[in-house]
Amino acid sequence: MRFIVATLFLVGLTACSSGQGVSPLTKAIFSKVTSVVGIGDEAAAPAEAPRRMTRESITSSGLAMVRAKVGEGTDPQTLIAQTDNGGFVTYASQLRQSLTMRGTLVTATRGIERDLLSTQIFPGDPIAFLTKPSDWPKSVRRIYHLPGNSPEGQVVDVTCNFLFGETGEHTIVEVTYPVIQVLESCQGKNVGFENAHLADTRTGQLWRTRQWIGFQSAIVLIDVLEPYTE
Amino acid sequence: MGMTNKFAMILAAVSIVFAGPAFAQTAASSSLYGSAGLIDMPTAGMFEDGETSWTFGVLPGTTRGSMNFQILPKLEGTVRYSTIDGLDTDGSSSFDMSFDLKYLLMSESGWRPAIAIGLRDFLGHGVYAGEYLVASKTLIGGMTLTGGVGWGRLGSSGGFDNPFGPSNRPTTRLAGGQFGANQWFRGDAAFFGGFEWETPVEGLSMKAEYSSDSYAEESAAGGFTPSVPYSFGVEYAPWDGVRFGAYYLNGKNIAFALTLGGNPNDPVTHPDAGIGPAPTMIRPANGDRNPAWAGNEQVRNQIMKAVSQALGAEGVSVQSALLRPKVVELRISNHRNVLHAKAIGRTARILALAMPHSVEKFRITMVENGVAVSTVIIDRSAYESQVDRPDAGAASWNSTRIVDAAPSLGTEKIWAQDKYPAFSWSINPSVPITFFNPNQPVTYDVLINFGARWQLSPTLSVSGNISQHLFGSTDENAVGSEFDKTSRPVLSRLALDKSFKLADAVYARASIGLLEKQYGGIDTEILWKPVQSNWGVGLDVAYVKERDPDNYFGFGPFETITGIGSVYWDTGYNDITAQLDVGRFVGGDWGGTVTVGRRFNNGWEVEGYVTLTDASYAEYGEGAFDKGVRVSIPLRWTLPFETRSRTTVTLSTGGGQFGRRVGGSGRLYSDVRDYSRLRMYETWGAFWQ
Repeated sequence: MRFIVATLFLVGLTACSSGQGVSPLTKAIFSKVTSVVGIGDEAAAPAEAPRRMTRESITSSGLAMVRAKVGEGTDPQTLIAQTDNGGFVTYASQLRQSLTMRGTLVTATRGIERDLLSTQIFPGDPIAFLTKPSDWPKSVRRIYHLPGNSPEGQVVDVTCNFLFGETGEHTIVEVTYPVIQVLESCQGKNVGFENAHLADTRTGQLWRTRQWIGFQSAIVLIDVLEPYTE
Repeated sequence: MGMTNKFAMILAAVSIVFAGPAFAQTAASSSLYGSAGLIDMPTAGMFEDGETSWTFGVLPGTTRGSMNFQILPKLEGTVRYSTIDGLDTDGSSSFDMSFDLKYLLMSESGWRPAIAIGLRDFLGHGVYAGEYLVASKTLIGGMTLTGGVGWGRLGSSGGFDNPFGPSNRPTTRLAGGQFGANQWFRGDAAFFGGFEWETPVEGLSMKAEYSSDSYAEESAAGGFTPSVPYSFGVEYAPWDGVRFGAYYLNGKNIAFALTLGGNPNDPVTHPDAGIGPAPTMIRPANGDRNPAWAGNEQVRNQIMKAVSQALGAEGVSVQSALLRPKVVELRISNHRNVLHAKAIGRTARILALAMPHSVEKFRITMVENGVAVSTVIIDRSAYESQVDRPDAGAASWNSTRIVDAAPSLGTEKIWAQDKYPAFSWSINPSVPITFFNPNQPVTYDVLINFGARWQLSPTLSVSGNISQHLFGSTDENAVGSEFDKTSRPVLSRLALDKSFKLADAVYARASIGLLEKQYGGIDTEILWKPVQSNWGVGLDVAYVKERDPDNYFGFGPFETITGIGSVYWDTGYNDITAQLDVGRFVGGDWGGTVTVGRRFNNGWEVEGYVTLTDASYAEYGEGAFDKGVRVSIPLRWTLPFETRSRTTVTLSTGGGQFGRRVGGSGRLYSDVRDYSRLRMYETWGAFWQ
């Protein structure tokens, strides 16, 4: 059925109108053809090669930023802190994909896979509130809100237990941090998933974190390039 | 066989308990009948909620086209159109439309099998009429076993005396569209059963069944004669939603099936792919909240120019606005976003970024076809306390009010789009597919449509449509009305349309001109539908004359007045909607239509309808009344960007002019239903998306 529908839609997509102009599909095809034959915007202005990120460029920007990658086979995106609303910091990419985080806990995603509407956190969550590893609680509770048929969306209530692993070092863009591996095992009604983190042994700051953001989304992997400070 | 023993056998058949672990849900795959089953026999399996599939089955002398819909988690419905060679009394092929229902009595749990009860072909000619009670149990290794007892056609082979009721079953073939309730679960009963094995090879499964169907009708017609009651099959699903099947039936026949399926809740593309909303920040506590800006027309115009541009990128156009020191109201049209809550949320974000700090309230009024429907009132301080916070969805819903929009903004310092009169056009290819036409089971056509609209004001427009048939099933010699001729362009509409509001919750529409391909005249409609209410009432009155098929602007002698009252109800239960239309239809017949559907929040709609009028059986053609199914699929389900376009497939018996209302003009209820408080509640999570 998907193929029939897709065919019908492709036919529909070839439609033109004064309001929308040429259909998105036609635009894409036209863009491809013009680039091949050497005319049009794409051919006239080849894309600028991506600049290599350095610690100096991060520091001199004065911006808090993270690098996020969703799923396998995708390129990581750099997201820059845009807003701070009560400690919930929203990082956005040039493509207007955004992650909202409390500390280093992802509390919302937009334009990345299926949206994570929000994450309700509770006091003492060391992923959301900077806590030395020695002071981390054994477990925390979180409530995830995913798209669903109500303002609250689909509610996923889990309890997460922390398990510390080995210590070592981790380098992110020229800076090496002493870290400890943390495995976070979350269980709720009809749901179970695992997050993994590399936490700074001195402060508890997560430099790398791998987090669940929903049933229908791939895992998001985040490197903290420059942490947000108020 | 004594009653006790028969009952024990039936219990044994429906309560099959096998060794092995329990699974949460009994697997289901389509049978040659299109419903969840083995090869021709049913199982107790249910598809995922909302699953919709089309199955095309080819057996010797028989073809079946079926649409199956998982109406509710425990209720499955099937509409089928079959062609059986030589079945009619004159030896010609019989085109037969049939309906099935199956209800899951008990889910599979632990050692207990799933148990379902079903009616096959309960609202048709009864060629396939049969009833059954069936149990299915999932075992280890991808094996699902099924056993059941059937009546009617499903009790026609290897039968025994009915343990539950009379052993005599009326054999009279019913006219299409009549309930066969006096036949249900009567007559001989028989056992059936089989298994389905999902092999370790991904997508490959095998089936075997013991059939309780004697295929007496097909045997008599010379198309299908079973040798043994056993059948075997192999099925392969190379991709999600596509399944091929090949079967060796009853020891001597080969059959094939193709099933295409999809689920509204499982979109082809991520529904949230695309750009995220603009990040917004709260106003600083010591920010300038001087309201003087509101008195400066130049400032107001600059603000609105920026807001209009920003919202244009979100697929939202601003019709008009009223900017005051503490309250701003925008009247917007959402052209792109499937969920209006998303358009409202993105508008609120733009307003939060653009509006001076003195503004405390955002009034966002949704406009559809030029008419203001509902106003969403957002408290800016509350919004700022919620943005990016956990559970912002519920908090924002609780702090937001939704009311019926006033008919107009008034005349005070209105900012309005200076775009009228506006001309727009479109060129769209279309592929209308009609299933279950009595004369031709499946027809398709490829058309090219030219549309133009001259918008004189937000609520007044002239629109026209011309379509040209390119190729397809319908041709000059097709059996049908004169209006189905395809050799020349068809002027399917040229009319003046006016939409307006009589009061906050009362909508009106009037159209005059060539309203549709077959009729021209005046069509008026009025609708009462408060946004707080989950039901509404409408009245549609039209005076029309039949158009001359040989003259674009000419009319024939036939004229009529139609008047149809409608009650609309959004039940709030599993997205189920209901509609009752009663009155005088365009054929001059009196009657009513009952429509029950399921309208998913992502735009999928599946609805079935039945129309009963005082037109005679002979006048109506196939069936004593019109009945059918409509499936409407939003393009957004398959595309990675927002669009409100959709494709609709209708499967109906078709009653000609009987039971039909004048088409061409959109129904007011369709314009306003998605703005109700109930639908807003269900989709409000998208406010922050």
